[in-house]
Amino acid sequence: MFSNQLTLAEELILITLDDSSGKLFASAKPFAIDIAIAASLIMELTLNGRIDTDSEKLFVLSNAPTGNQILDDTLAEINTEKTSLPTSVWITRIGKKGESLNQLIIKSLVDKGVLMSVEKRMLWVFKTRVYPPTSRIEEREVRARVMQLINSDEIPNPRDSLIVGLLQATSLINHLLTHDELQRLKVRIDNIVNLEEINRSLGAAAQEAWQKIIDSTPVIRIC
Amino acid sequence: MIDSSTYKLSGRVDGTNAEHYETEISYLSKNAEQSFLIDLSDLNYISSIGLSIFIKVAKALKNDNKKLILAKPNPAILDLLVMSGFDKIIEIQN
Repeated sequence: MFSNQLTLAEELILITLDDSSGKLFASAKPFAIDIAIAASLIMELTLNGRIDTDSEKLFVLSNAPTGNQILDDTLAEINTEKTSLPTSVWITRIGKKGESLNQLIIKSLVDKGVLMSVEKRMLWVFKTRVYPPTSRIEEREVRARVMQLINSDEIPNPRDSLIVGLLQATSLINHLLTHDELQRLKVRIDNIVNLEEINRSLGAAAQEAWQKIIDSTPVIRIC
Repeated sequence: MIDSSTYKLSGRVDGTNAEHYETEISYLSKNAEQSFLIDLSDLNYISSIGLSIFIKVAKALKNDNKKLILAKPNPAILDLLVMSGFDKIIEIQN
C-alpha cells in the first residue's frame, strides 16, 4: 500500500527539513513537531480506514496491517487500549515517543531514496548525522499542493486538509508564506484546517503542550 | 422511482458503513442536474469518516459546476456541521 507513496508523517518531515543544513526541525517548535508527527500517524490510519474519530473519541475499525511498520505499530498500540480515548489523548501519548518516532520516519525516507544519510564532523571532532534531500522533488510537490489549495477556493480533499492542519500546528505554515500572505489567507487556512476533526484535536493537544511549557517556566517578579 | 437528485441518510454513519454510503451517493450524485440534496432529518450520528463523504461528494459536484445541499439536520448534527465549518463550503438548508 505504501511502497513508494509518502505518508503524511514523511511529508511533514520533508517540509520540516532545513535543506541547507540537512538537519531537521530547525525552524519549528520541537514539542509541536512531536505531537504533529503523532497526529499524522493517526490521520494516516483514518485515511486508510483503520480508525475513525468523532468529537469525543477515537475507535479502531480494523486492525488489519497497512504494510507500513510505523503505522502498524501505532495501530497495535491503540488497539491494546480497552477503552476508547479522545483523539487528543492519543496524540499526546504517541507524541511522547518524539525522537524515536522521528528517527524511524527519517529512516523510512532514506530507504525510499528521498533523503540521504550523511555523517558530518562538528569542530573536527564530534560526529553528527544530517539528512539532505536527494532531489527535493517530493518536498516541492507537497509545498505546491498546499500553496495551490490555500490560494484557491477549491474544496480540499481530506488528505490535503490534514497536511495543512499539521503545518499550522507546527507553525511551519509561517515559513511557507510571507507575513502579508498569512494575513490575507488566515481565514481560508483556518477554514481548511477546521474541516477535519483530527486537526481540531491536534490543535487542542498543541495548546495543552504549550500550556504545560508556560506553566513550567519560572515567573520572574519585578517588584 | 428513484429520484436521482436526492438521497436520505438515516441512523448512524461511521467507518463501519461509510464506504457503502459513499459509493451509493457518489453514483447517484453523478446524475444530478444542478444540485444533489442529502436529507439528514433521520441522521442521528456521523463520525469523521462519515463527514468526509460530504466533502468528497461536494468536491466532485463542484468540479462539474454542481452543488451539494445538506437538508434538515437535527440540532446536534447542525452544530457539528457548523463547528466543522461545513456551512462555509456546503449549502445547509434547515
